[in-house]
Amino acid sequence: MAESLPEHDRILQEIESTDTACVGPTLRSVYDDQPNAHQRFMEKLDACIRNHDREIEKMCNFHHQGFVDAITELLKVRADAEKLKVQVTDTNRRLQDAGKEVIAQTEEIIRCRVQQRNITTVVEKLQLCLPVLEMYSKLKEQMNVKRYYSALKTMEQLENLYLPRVSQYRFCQIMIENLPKLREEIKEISMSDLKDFLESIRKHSDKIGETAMKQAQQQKTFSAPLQKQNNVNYGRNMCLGRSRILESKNEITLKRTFEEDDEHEEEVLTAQDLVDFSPVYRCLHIYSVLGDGEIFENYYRKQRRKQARLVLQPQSSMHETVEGYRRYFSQIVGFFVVEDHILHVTQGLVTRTYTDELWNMALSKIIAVLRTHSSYCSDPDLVLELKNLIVVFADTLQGYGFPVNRLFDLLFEIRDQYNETLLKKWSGLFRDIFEADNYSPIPVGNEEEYKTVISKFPFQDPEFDKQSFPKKLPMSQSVPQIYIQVKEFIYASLKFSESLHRSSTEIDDMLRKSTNLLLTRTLSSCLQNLIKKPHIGLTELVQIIINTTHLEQACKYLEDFISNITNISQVTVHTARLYGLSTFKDARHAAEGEIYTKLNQKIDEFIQIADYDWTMSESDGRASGYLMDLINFLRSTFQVFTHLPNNNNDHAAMSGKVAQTACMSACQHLSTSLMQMLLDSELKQISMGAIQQFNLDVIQCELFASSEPVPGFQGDTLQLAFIDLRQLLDLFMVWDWSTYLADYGQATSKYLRVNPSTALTLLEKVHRGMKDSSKKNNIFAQFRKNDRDKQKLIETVVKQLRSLVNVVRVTGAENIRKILLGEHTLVSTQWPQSTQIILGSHTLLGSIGDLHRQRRKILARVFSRAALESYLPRIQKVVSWELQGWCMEPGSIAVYSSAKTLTFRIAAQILLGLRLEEKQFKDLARTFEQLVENLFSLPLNIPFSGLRKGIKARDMLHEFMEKAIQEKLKRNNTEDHSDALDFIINSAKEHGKEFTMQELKESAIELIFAAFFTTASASTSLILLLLKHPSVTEKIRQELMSHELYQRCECCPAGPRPDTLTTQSKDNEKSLLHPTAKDARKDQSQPLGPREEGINLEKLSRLSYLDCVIKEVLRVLPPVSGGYRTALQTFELNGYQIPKGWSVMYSIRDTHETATVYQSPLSGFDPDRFSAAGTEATGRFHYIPFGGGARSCIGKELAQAILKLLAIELVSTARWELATPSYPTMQTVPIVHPVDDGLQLYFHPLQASCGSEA
Amino acid sequence: MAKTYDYLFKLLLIGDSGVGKTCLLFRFSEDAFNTTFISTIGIDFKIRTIELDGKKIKLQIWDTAGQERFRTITTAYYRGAMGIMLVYDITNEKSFDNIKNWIRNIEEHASSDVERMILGNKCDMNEKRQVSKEKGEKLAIDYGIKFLETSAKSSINVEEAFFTLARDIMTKLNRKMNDNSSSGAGSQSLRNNTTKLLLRAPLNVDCDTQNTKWILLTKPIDLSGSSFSDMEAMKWRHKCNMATN
Repeated sequence: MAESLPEHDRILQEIESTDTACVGPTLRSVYDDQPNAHQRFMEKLDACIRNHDREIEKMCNFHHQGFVDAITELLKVRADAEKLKVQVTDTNRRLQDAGKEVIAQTEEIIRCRVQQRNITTVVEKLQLCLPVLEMYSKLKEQMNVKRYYSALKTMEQLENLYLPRVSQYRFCQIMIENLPKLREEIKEISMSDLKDFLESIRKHSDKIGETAMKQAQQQKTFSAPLQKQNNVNYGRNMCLGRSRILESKNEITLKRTFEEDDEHEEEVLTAQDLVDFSPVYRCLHIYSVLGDGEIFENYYRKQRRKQARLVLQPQSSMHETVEGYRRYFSQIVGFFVVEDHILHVTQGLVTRTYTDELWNMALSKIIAVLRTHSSYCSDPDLVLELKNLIVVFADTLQGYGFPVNRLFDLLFEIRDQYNETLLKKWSGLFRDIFEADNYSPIPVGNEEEYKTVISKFPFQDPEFDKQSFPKKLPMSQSVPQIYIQVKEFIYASLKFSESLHRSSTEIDDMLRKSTNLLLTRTLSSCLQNLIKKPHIGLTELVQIIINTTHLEQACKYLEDFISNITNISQVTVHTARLYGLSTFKDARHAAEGEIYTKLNQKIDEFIQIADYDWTMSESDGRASGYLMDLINFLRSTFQVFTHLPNNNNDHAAMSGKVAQTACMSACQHLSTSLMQMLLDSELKQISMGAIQQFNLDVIQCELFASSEPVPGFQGDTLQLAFIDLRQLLDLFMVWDWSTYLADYGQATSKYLRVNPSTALTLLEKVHRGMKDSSKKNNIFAQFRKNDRDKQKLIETVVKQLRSLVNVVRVTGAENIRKILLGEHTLVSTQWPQSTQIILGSHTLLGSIGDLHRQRRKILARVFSRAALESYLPRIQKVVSWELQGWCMEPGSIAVYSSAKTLTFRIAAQILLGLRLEEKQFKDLARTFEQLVENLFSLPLNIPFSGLRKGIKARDMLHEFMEKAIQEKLKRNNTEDHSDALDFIINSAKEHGKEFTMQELKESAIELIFAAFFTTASASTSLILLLLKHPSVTEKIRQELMSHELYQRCECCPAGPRPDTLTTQSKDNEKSLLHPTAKDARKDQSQPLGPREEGINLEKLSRLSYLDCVIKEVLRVLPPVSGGYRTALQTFELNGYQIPKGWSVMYSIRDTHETATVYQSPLSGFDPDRFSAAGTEATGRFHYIPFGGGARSCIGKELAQAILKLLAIELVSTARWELATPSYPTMQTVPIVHPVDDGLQLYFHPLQASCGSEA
Repeated sequence: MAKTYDYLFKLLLIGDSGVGKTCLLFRFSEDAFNTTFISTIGIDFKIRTIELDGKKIKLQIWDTAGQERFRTITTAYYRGAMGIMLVYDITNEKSFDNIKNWIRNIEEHASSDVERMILGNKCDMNEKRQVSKEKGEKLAIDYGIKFLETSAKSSINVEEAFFTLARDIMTKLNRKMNDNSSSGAGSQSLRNNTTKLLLRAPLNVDCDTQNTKWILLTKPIDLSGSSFSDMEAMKWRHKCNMATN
């Protein structure tokens, strides 16, 4: 229990100290602890309450006195408070009474104050409104007096300043509403003003422009002298004649210019003088004020642009007068002056770009207009004035700062046009001058007349001065006139260049150019036209030629003249020279040509009246009348020609030359005309009589030609014009067909100029004529064998000619290859008919196709290696023997004949194995030669004809051959066959074909023919070429020595000996041989001695240099120059079609000469060219001395062997020299040989001295 | 060669210098006129084909120089002429007076049967006339020659003049031909037969072929039996003339 006591104390304390709310839990804690705790707590609580009652009693006791005292005090104060209350109420009442008056008065004051304040406000408001009204009325007033700009200003003030202040008033509202209307009104009014203005400037721009241009012009005219004399007193004196105003204006202009003032002001003045610009300003102001500046600008520009367009539109008739142009330009200038003014005066209404744009537009338009309009202009004066206008126009506008370069460019164009019109005008002038000329020299009676002419035309001729009056100038009157007119033209042309701001060089250049045009085009065409005029005759043409020479000479003076005008010295300027020279030269040529043409026309006219009776049987021995007339006419014409008046100077020489050419051309024309007449296809037949007549006429022509109708022809130059006709007629008159055909193609031919086709045409006509006439006289004709023979002959000749006409000449390796290899397919061999007749039908050369192949095979045996080998020693012997004969001959040897003898001997003895007496041999040789000579003759078997002779020779030969063959066949059995005939017979047998006698004979003759001439020709060539080239001979000799063949002739076969001895012994042998030569010849055919067997094919082939020599000989001088083939079918050769049936002539010689292989080192004789390896390989058809293909030479090897043997024999035993002063010329047809057997040589045995010693 | 004409007449124009010979010819051949006086030098000719009685006639008209200095050249042409025009200028008395000299010239140089005609040219210039027409006519009558006044400039009587002369020549020719070919074929049949008839004269010809000179031995041509065309006859006559001259 001890412990619950403190616990209660603490709870009590807690209850006292804390709030009542918290008492609960505290109390609960009391109940919770112990069941009797509540009791004790109650007790405790009573205890506490008593404690607190005691304390309250104590306190009351202590503060009671103090309370009583305080009440007493209060009672005392109560009385005082009452008294005071009364006093205060009293005072308050008194105060209330006094305050009543004051309040009344205060109220009065307040009322007055309000009144006063109201009045002030009204006054203020009124003061604001009054100016507005004033302004408005001012505005109205301004509007009334049309001071729109100030009105606008006023309006602006109103709006900006006044109206905002009083905007609350109704009248202001109205005003504000009214103002825009007023503005519109103003705008409208000013616009209409502007329109009026525009109207007026449109009206006045003309004037303005004119004035401006005038001023610019004056300024220029004044400034021009001013530039020259700077300090001259200008002004009044200079303008005396002018009006006062102008004068002063000018003065101003001048002064200004001189002081380098701005020119514009002055000019603007004039613009302003004429037009009142105020509407524009006003309008501009108004609009800019109204803020519609842009609209105005646009409007203005648009309007002006429209105006510009109107202004620029030219009147259609403008080009007719200068006035039209002037008005046009004035308007444009006026327009731009106004624009310029506006540009300078107003700000921004127009800008520089705007005016520039406008100007550019205007410029293009102007240029276009001028271009079209000026092209209508045909009057140079008008063009000139137009040009002046343009210049002034350009100058004026340039003054205003507009670029005018294009105008000047245009001026150049117009200048061309101007020149063109000038040229047109002058062309007429020239024509008139030429029309009026009498084309005879100007007669001058005395010095005075002479001077008059000279003053017009530069003419100098010292020769002429020497003559006495009266005399005649060389040229006709048109010359000075033309010259003057050219000068006039230059002046006229110059006029345009004035005031064009161009340098004198340029002007000079221009003048020269236009003058050149005048000369080369206008004058030239006038001259050309003149020359073609029908009334201009030959003499007039000659005069024109003389005239042009003088004009040409005068060109120089024209150049001086131009230089004088332009002050450009010719030395410094090398610009355009006058090339009038060519004009005159051309004209001269044309005139000359016209002379020839005119003459030819005259000749044609004569020819047209020719009336040959082409069927006349005989001529009457007189030349035809028309021809005599023609020749007389020509004669007198040329007589007049060469006796023209002024033959005292170089012109005569000139016209003489013209006369010569004219004469030549006339003769040639006459000749061709006559020829044409003969060959005219409509003329079907001509009698020999007509040809006689024609011949007489041609003789007349030739007489004329040889009579020197015009002096100065050399020899028979003129006659040559008729040479073709002459030769043709000669051929017919002499009836010289054999010569013609034989010599055909040779330079020496008498009828060289006769074309086979011409001859053919004429011959056919003659033939036809003959047939015709013989038909008519057929009763007699039957008996006239002569006629028939003649006709036959004609037919043959016609055939021959035809073959000549249709010959294609072929050269060049490739083409020849095609021809040669084309044998039997493309082409076939072609021999003249005469050859076929004479040689017979069984020959190798005459056979074709398979037959040819077979024959060739048989004959090949004759030339086989074995056969050759067997011939060789015998050939050598014959050669050696023949050569000895040559050397023994004291006189000269005709090499070709001798070679023929040699080859014939070889052919006869070795090939045919004939054993002949020398006389027999010679007869045979002669007969054979006759045969060969006539192989190529006219195939006419009539007495004394070539063919007849050939046939005769053949028959003799055949006869002889038959005997010889018969003999041979008898002997044949015993002997070994060693000649060609033997080979043939046996070979034929082997090939299963027996040769008939006829075949044998023919083959034999053919063999001789083939070997005879060709080898002789080659031998001759060999000797000739060796003679010409001793070095080659020497080289052969050395080769022989090196092969130990040089000592071949030695008697003793036993080894080499010293040279001297060798030759000695050889000569010994020779000298022994010589006396018995004839005997020796008899037994040539006997088998050869063993010592001669030294040579054989193998040895020969080792002599390579000799081989080259032979090759080269055959190249340089191929015995046969070519061959004929007939085209079996049409084929193409080197791009040419060769028709079937045509003859093809292939040229061996030309091919050798032109082949590029042989061009180097030199195309001359040079055996070494073949020593180089591979030459042959390059193309075997470059080298075709033996032909090629199926018909190549069958005896090729043999021929080469013969030639080699001849060379060896020659070189080792003889030397030879020319017996004639010069080498002979070589003829190529039918085989290469010296002309007229002209190779004459002396042959000497080597070491002849030794020989004579022995 | 096909022949383009049946006859060829050679005419000659003579007269003083400047009377208008060339202009007459120019008018006749080209139907043109040129005012400038270009004096003819030497000789010239023009050819024009006309038709007369269905025959084509080629007129070869020779224009001579009137100037004295060319006289030698021009007289050579008188002989071949078949008709001669004597021209004078009616405005130039002297040229008229000279006609007599010209006629003398003709008598001297031309063949005797040549047709002649006098022309007074420039008749367009009446105001300058010096020679009356009557005077001209009288002269013509005196000589028995036809006369016409012409103007080349105005193309008066130019055609007529030449045609007249051509016709006169033709008439003379026909008359002669009729005289010559009295036997057989008249001109009537010939006119129908246009093919060319041959003049066949048997001539002996001796040819020296070596010198190629041909000597012709002319024998009189036997005309009997062979028919002549007008043309042949004319040619024949012409050749005879040549021979006799």
